[in-house]
Amino acid sequence: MVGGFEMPLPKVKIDVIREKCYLCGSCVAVCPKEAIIIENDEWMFFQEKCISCKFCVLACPVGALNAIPLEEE
Amino acid sequence: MRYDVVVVGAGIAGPILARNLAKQGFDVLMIDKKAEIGSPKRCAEGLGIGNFKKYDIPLDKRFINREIYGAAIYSPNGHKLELRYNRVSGVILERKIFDKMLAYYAGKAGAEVMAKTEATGLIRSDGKIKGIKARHEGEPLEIHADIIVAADGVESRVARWAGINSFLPPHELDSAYEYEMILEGFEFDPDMIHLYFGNEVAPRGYVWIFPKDDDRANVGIGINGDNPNTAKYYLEKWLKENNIKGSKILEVNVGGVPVGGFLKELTKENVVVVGDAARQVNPMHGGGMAEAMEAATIASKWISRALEEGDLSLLENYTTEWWANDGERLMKVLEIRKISEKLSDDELDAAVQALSGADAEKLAAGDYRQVFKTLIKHPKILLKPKMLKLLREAL
Repeated sequence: MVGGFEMPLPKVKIDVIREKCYLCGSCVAVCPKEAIIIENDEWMFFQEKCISCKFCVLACPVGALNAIPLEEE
Repeated sequence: MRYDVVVVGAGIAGPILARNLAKQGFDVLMIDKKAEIGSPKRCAEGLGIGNFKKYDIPLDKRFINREIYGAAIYSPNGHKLELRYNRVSGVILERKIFDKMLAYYAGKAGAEVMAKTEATGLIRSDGKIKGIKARHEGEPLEIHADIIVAADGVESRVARWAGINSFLPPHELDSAYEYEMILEGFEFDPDMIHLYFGNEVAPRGYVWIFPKDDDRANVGIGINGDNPNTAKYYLEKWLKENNIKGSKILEVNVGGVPVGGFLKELTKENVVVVGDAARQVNPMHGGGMAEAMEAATIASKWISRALEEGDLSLLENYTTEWWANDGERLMKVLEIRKISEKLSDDELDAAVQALSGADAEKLAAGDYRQVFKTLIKHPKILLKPKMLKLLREAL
């Protein structure tokens, strides 16, 4: 389970290729932290909620999501 | 705005539940974020014929593409297991029309229906859930209701807002991709659905052909949601290997299917969760329409009782009754799925060769002990030590 991870995951930001996305909601369903929502036919990502698990990238049926590494500040 | 019940989502569970409650005279509002109820769909559109009578749905030819007489299952090396009936066993629907008609039946029964209306949050006061906030064309709405029904699909937000942990890890999701297409130069019996299994074909899932005409079908795939490759990748690969040109594609459908278990608590306070939102899907084949109808039927019964007697604690009976019936059945199916997903291609071949049509039928119904006992003695299976071990463990 995600909550059991001792080591912090390398921080990423999730990008959507909007032209590939069908708004099917698979990414929303597998996000443990509600960091992705779809509202008003818009795909939205909230960096502050993201725990960098990349479940969304795995679950996307079409490969519309990418995890972009964030530079450590 | 004030209602006895507000239903979020007009897929399968939502309209059945709204219809049942409206019929009994309750004030019901059903909202859906889609501008057109039924579209886009995330479904292969197959439904067993018995469900129409069971859930009191008219057999209206406007939403029936084709009648189906059974299923053919194909193992990785091409062995075929056929379950053919001499009567119609199911239909391939047109969900765009079916869902809209279900919403129509709900409306006819007295429910109010609002398309293009999206839930945006819960109304809470005095520590209680009082209704939902929604938006229609940008205009904010406050919908007060005694009971809120989360029928908002696999990505359900209503359940999470209520504090129900409906997070679905990727290995509990099947990732699905489907074309409605004209199949040229590929032989298939259009009176049957066709399911192709194999670890290279569709890891943990299968490729399906659900015919809508003798040359037109939903051709799709479901694979494990934690697979590094996409569902689309595997479907394209299968089409190519079978020399099927993808040059006549009429529709593309994409979706995630919850196949890893079911919500333990189907209600919280005055929030009731049904259908994909509650993970009420057959984990073997990924179908969830019949399960959604069953859940909606049980939920509507207890919502009605809770409202009549003014006692919200009666809602918990929905959880109890669902788990004692469909829940128990589907847990057995999940156990079979967990075994079948561990089988190698060789073992899948042996299984398909060893199974008879009657066995496959029993398995699909979740009645696996008798079938496993027969399989353990089968000469094809006796040569597969790992499979024998899995079967013995399951017994």
